[in-house]
Amino acid sequence: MSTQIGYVDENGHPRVTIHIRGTHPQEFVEVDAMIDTGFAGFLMLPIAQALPLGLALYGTGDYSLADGSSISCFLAEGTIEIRPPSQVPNANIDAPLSFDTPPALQPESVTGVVVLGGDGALVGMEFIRGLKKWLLVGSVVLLLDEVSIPVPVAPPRTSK
Amino acid sequence: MSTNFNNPKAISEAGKKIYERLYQAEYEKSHLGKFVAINILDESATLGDTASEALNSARARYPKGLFHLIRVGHSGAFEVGLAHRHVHADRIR
Repeated sequence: MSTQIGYVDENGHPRVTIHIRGTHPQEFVEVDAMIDTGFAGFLMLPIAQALPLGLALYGTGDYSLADGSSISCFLAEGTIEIRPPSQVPNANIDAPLSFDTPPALQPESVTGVVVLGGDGALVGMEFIRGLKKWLLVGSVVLLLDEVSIPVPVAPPRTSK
Repeated sequence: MSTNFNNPKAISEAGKKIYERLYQAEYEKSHLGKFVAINILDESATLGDTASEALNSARARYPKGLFHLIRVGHSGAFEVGLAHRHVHADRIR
Protein backbone atom coordinates (compact mmCIF):
# COMPACT_ATOMS: atom_id res chain seq x y z
CA MET A 1 0.00 0.00 0.00
CA SER A 2 1.20 3.49 -0.66
CA THR A 3 0.41 7.08 -1.42
CA GLN A 4 0.32 7.72 -5.13
CA ILE A 5 1.31 11.19 -6.24
CA GLY A 6 0.01 12.94 -9.31
CA TYR A 7 0.02 16.55 -10.44
CA VAL A 8 -2.18 19.35 -11.67
CA ASP A 9 -1.54 20.21 -15.31
CA GLU A 10 -1.34 23.64 -16.92
CA ASN A 11 -5.10 23.60 -17.51
CA GLY A 12 -5.83 22.84 -13.88
CA HIS A 13 -6.78 19.18 -14.44
CA PRO A 14 -5.57 16.51 -12.01
CA ARG A 15 -3.40 13.86 -13.64
CA VAL A 16 -1.60 10.71 -12.57
CA THR A 17 1.06 8.76 -14.43
CA ILE A 18 0.11 5.12 -14.96
CA HIS A 19 1.14 2.03 -16.88
CA ILE A 20 -1.59 0.25 -18.83
CA ARG A 21 -1.30 -3.42 -19.74
CA GLY A 22 -3.40 -5.85 -21.75
CA THR A 23 -2.95 -9.47 -22.69
CA HIS A 24 0.45 -8.98 -24.30
CA PRO A 25 2.96 -9.94 -21.58
CA GLN A 26 5.70 -7.51 -22.59
CA GLU A 27 3.79 -4.48 -23.76
CA PHE A 28 2.57 -1.58 -21.71
CA VAL A 29 1.96 2.08 -22.37
CA GLU A 30 2.84 4.86 -19.95
CA VAL A 31 0.39 7.74 -19.94
CA ASP A 32 -0.40 10.81 -17.88
CA ALA A 33 -4.08 10.08 -17.42
CA MET A 34 -6.54 12.76 -16.44
CA ILE A 35 -8.56 11.99 -13.32
CA ASP A 36 -12.23 12.71 -13.97
CA THR A 37 -14.49 12.19 -10.98
CA GLY A 38 -17.42 12.75 -13.35
CA PHE A 39 -16.48 9.52 -15.10
CA ALA A 40 -17.97 6.55 -13.27
CA GLY A 41 -15.93 4.07 -15.29
CA PHE A 42 -12.42 2.69 -14.93
CA LEU A 43 -10.34 3.89 -17.88
CA MET A 44 -10.91 5.50 -21.24
CA LEU A 45 -8.11 5.07 -23.75
CA PRO A 46 -7.76 6.11 -27.40
CA ILE A 47 -7.76 3.14 -29.76
CA ALA A 48 -4.34 4.07 -31.15
CA GLN A 49 -2.81 3.61 -27.69
CA ALA A 50 -4.86 0.51 -26.90
CA LEU A 51 -4.12 -1.61 -29.98
CA PRO A 52 -0.47 -2.46 -29.20
CA LEU A 53 -1.49 -3.76 -25.78
CA GLY A 54 -3.66 -6.60 -27.04
CA LEU A 55 -6.62 -5.69 -24.85
CA ALA A 56 -9.29 -8.39 -24.74
CA LEU A 57 -12.57 -7.08 -26.16
CA TYR A 58 -15.73 -7.55 -24.09
CA GLY A 59 -18.50 -5.82 -26.00
CA THR A 60 -19.81 -2.30 -26.44
CA GLY A 61 -21.05 0.64 -24.43
CA ASP A 62 -22.14 4.22 -25.07
CA TYR A 63 -20.55 7.26 -23.54
CA SER A 64 -22.23 10.65 -23.43
CA LEU A 65 -20.47 13.90 -24.21
CA ALA A 66 -21.08 17.36 -22.79
CA ASP A 67 -23.24 18.34 -25.78
CA GLY A 68 -25.62 15.46 -25.09
CA SER A 69 -24.48 13.34 -27.99
CA SER A 70 -23.38 9.78 -27.38
CA ILE A 71 -20.74 7.61 -28.97
CA SER A 72 -20.84 3.82 -29.20
CA CYS A 73 -17.50 2.23 -28.56
CA PHE A 74 -15.87 -1.09 -27.85
CA LEU A 75 -15.13 -2.13 -24.27
CA ALA A 76 -12.09 -4.18 -23.31
CA GLU A 77 -10.30 -5.45 -20.23
CA GLY A 78 -7.11 -3.74 -19.12
CA THR A 79 -4.89 -3.43 -16.08
CA ILE A 80 -3.61 -0.19 -14.65
CA GLU A 81 -0.37 -0.30 -12.73
CA ILE A 82 0.68 2.59 -10.58
CA ARG A 83 3.95 3.94 -11.89
CA PRO A 84 6.52 3.00 -9.23
CA PRO A 85 8.55 6.24 -9.03
CA SER A 86 5.43 8.08 -7.93
CA GLN A 87 4.73 5.88 -4.96
CA VAL A 88 5.55 6.76 -1.38
CA PRO A 89 5.06 4.16 1.37
CA ASN A 90 2.54 5.02 4.09
CA ALA A 91 5.04 4.91 6.93
CA ASN A 92 3.42 7.74 8.90
CA ILE A 93 0.42 9.70 7.67
CA ASP A 94 1.35 12.62 9.97
CA ALA A 95 4.92 12.94 8.72
CA PRO A 96 5.66 15.20 5.76
CA LEU A 97 6.11 13.34 2.50
CA SER A 98 9.75 12.82 1.62
CA PHE A 99 10.97 12.49 -1.93
CA ASP A 100 14.61 11.90 -0.96
CA THR A 101 14.54 8.35 0.38
CA PRO A 102 13.99 5.68 -2.23
CA PRO A 103 10.90 3.84 -1.06
CA ALA A 104 10.57 0.08 -0.81
CA LEU A 105 7.70 -0.35 -3.20
CA GLN A 106 5.20 -3.02 -3.90
CA PRO A 107 3.48 -2.97 -7.28
CA GLU A 108 -0.13 -1.94 -7.16
CA SER A 109 -2.44 -2.73 -10.00
CA VAL A 110 -6.14 -2.97 -10.68
CA THR A 111 -8.04 -4.49 -13.60
CA GLY A 112 -11.21 -3.12 -15.08
CA VAL A 113 -13.22 -2.17 -18.16
CA VAL A 114 -11.49 0.04 -20.69
CA VAL A 115 -13.58 2.26 -22.92
CA LEU A 116 -11.82 2.42 -26.28
CA GLY A 117 -12.17 5.97 -27.52
CA GLY A 118 -11.72 9.59 -26.59
CA ASP A 119 -8.86 11.97 -27.17
CA GLY A 120 -6.66 11.03 -24.23
CA ALA A 121 -6.36 8.65 -21.32
CA LEU A 122 -8.92 9.24 -18.60
CA VAL A 123 -9.33 7.41 -15.28
CA GLY A 124 -12.54 7.52 -13.28
CA MET A 125 -14.12 6.59 -10.00
CA GLU A 126 -13.95 2.85 -10.59
CA PHE A 127 -10.16 3.16 -10.80
CA ILE A 128 -9.93 5.14 -7.55
CA ARG A 129 -12.33 2.82 -5.72
CA GLY A 130 -10.64 -0.26 -7.16
CA LEU A 131 -7.37 0.81 -5.59
CA LYS A 132 -9.22 1.58 -2.34
CA LYS A 133 -7.82 5.07 -2.23
CA TRP A 134 -8.99 8.58 -1.49
CA LEU A 135 -8.37 11.36 -3.99
CA LEU A 136 -7.04 14.67 -2.69
CA VAL A 137 -6.44 17.54 -5.10
CA GLY A 138 -4.54 20.66 -4.14
CA SER A 139 -1.29 21.94 -5.57
CA VAL A 140 -0.48 18.27 -6.15
CA VAL A 141 -2.72 15.23 -6.47
CA LEU A 142 -2.64 12.50 -3.83
CA LEU A 143 -4.22 9.07 -3.88
CA LEU A 144 -4.20 7.95 -0.24
CA ASP A 145 -4.94 4.45 1.01
CA GLU A 146 -8.40 4.21 2.57
CA VAL A 147 -6.95 2.56 5.67
CA SER A 148 -4.93 5.72 6.31
CA ILE A 149 -8.08 7.81 6.70
CA PRO A 150 -9.62 7.51 10.19
CA VAL A 151 -13.23 8.07 9.12
CA PRO A 152 -15.95 5.54 8.30
CA VAL A 153 -16.57 5.05 4.58
CA ALA A 154 -20.20 5.86 3.76
CA PRO A 155 -22.04 3.54 1.39
CA PRO A 156 -22.68 5.02 -2.07
CA ARG A 157 -25.95 6.90 -2.46
CA THR A 158 -28.13 6.40 -5.48
CA SER A 159 -28.53 9.65 -7.42
CA LYS A 160 -32.16 10.75 -8.09
CA MET B 1 -32.44 -8.69 -39.96
CA SER B 2 -29.02 -9.75 -38.67
CA THR B 3 -26.80 -7.43 -36.65
CA ASN B 4 -23.49 -6.25 -38.08
CA PHE B 5 -21.15 -7.40 -35.32
CA ASN B 6 -18.29 -5.34 -36.79
CA ASN B 7 -20.03 -2.10 -36.00
CA PRO B 8 -20.18 -1.02 -32.32
CA LYS B 9 -23.13 1.27 -33.03
CA ALA B 10 -25.14 -1.61 -34.45
CA ILE B 11 -24.33 -3.79 -31.43
CA SER B 12 -25.29 -0.89 -29.19
CA GLU B 13 -28.63 -0.45 -30.95
CA ALA B 14 -29.37 -4.17 -30.70
CA GLY B 15 -28.54 -4.15 -27.01
CA LYS B 16 -30.64 -1.08 -26.32
CA LYS B 17 -33.67 -2.56 -28.08
CA ILE B 18 -33.44 -5.73 -26.00
CA TYR B 19 -33.06 -3.70 -22.82
CA GLU B 20 -36.00 -1.42 -23.62
CA ARG B 21 -38.22 -4.35 -24.53
CA LEU B 22 -37.41 -6.72 -21.69
CA TYR B 23 -35.73 -4.99 -18.75
CA GLN B 24 -35.96 -1.19 -18.67
CA ALA B 25 -39.32 -0.82 -16.90
CA GLU B 26 -38.46 -3.24 -14.12
CA TYR B 27 -34.85 -2.17 -13.61
CA GLU B 28 -35.64 1.55 -13.43
CA LYS B 29 -37.93 0.82 -10.48
CA SER B 30 -35.36 -0.95 -8.35
CA HIS B 31 -31.85 -0.82 -9.84
CA LEU B 32 -31.22 2.82 -10.68
CA GLY B 33 -27.56 3.59 -11.23
CA LYS B 34 -26.50 -0.03 -11.59
CA PHE B 35 -24.81 -1.38 -14.69
CA VAL B 36 -26.40 -4.11 -16.79
CA ALA B 37 -24.65 -6.18 -19.44
CA ILE B 38 -27.09 -7.25 -22.16
CA ASN B 39 -26.01 -10.34 -24.07
CA ILE B 40 -27.30 -9.66 -27.56
CA LEU B 41 -26.90 -13.32 -28.51
CA ASP B 42 -29.47 -14.67 -26.03
CA GLU B 43 -31.11 -11.45 -24.72
CA SER B 44 -30.06 -12.16 -21.13
CA ALA B 45 -29.14 -9.42 -18.64
CA THR B 46 -26.55 -9.36 -15.87
CA LEU B 47 -26.53 -6.63 -13.24
CA GLY B 48 -23.55 -5.22 -11.36
CA ASP B 49 -22.70 -2.28 -9.12
CA THR B 50 -19.82 -1.35 -11.41
CA ALA B 51 -19.20 -1.74 -15.12
CA SER B 52 -16.46 -4.30 -14.45
CA GLU B 53 -18.67 -6.28 -12.09
CA ALA B 54 -21.54 -6.47 -14.58
CA LEU B 55 -19.30 -7.49 -17.48
CA ASN B 56 -17.19 -9.96 -15.49
CA SER B 57 -20.31 -11.63 -14.09
CA ALA B 58 -21.87 -11.75 -17.54
CA ARG B 59 -18.73 -13.29 -19.02
CA ALA B 60 -18.61 -15.87 -16.25
CA ARG B 61 -22.19 -16.90 -17.04
CA TYR B 62 -21.89 -16.66 -20.82
CA PRO B 63 -18.24 -16.98 -21.88
CA LYS B 64 -19.13 -16.66 -25.55
CA GLY B 65 -21.58 -13.82 -25.16
CA LEU B 66 -21.49 -10.45 -26.91
CA PHE B 67 -22.38 -7.75 -24.45
CA HIS B 68 -23.69 -4.23 -24.58
CA LEU B 69 -23.32 -2.31 -21.34
CA ILE B 70 -26.02 0.03 -20.08
CA ARG B 71 -26.36 2.05 -16.91
CA VAL B 72 -29.90 1.92 -15.53
CA GLY B 73 -31.58 5.30 -15.70
CA HIS B 74 -28.81 6.91 -17.76
CA SER B 75 -28.56 7.70 -21.45
CA GLY B 76 -25.25 5.90 -21.74
CA ALA B 77 -23.05 3.58 -19.74
CA PHE B 78 -20.60 6.41 -19.09
CA GLU B 79 -20.46 10.16 -18.99
CA VAL B 80 -17.17 11.93 -19.37
CA GLY B 81 -16.10 15.44 -18.64
CA LEU B 82 -16.66 17.61 -15.58
CA ALA B 83 -19.26 19.49 -17.64
CA HIS B 84 -21.58 16.57 -17.07
CA ARG B 85 -21.90 17.36 -13.41
CA HIS B 86 -25.25 18.92 -12.85
CA VAL B 87 -27.17 20.06 -9.83
CA HIS B 88 -30.79 19.22 -9.41
CA ALA B 89 -32.91 22.37 -9.63
CA ASP B 90 -34.32 21.94 -6.13
CA ARG B 91 -30.82 22.25 -4.67
CA ILE B 92 -30.27 25.73 -6.04
CA ARG B 93 -33.64 27.30 -5.17
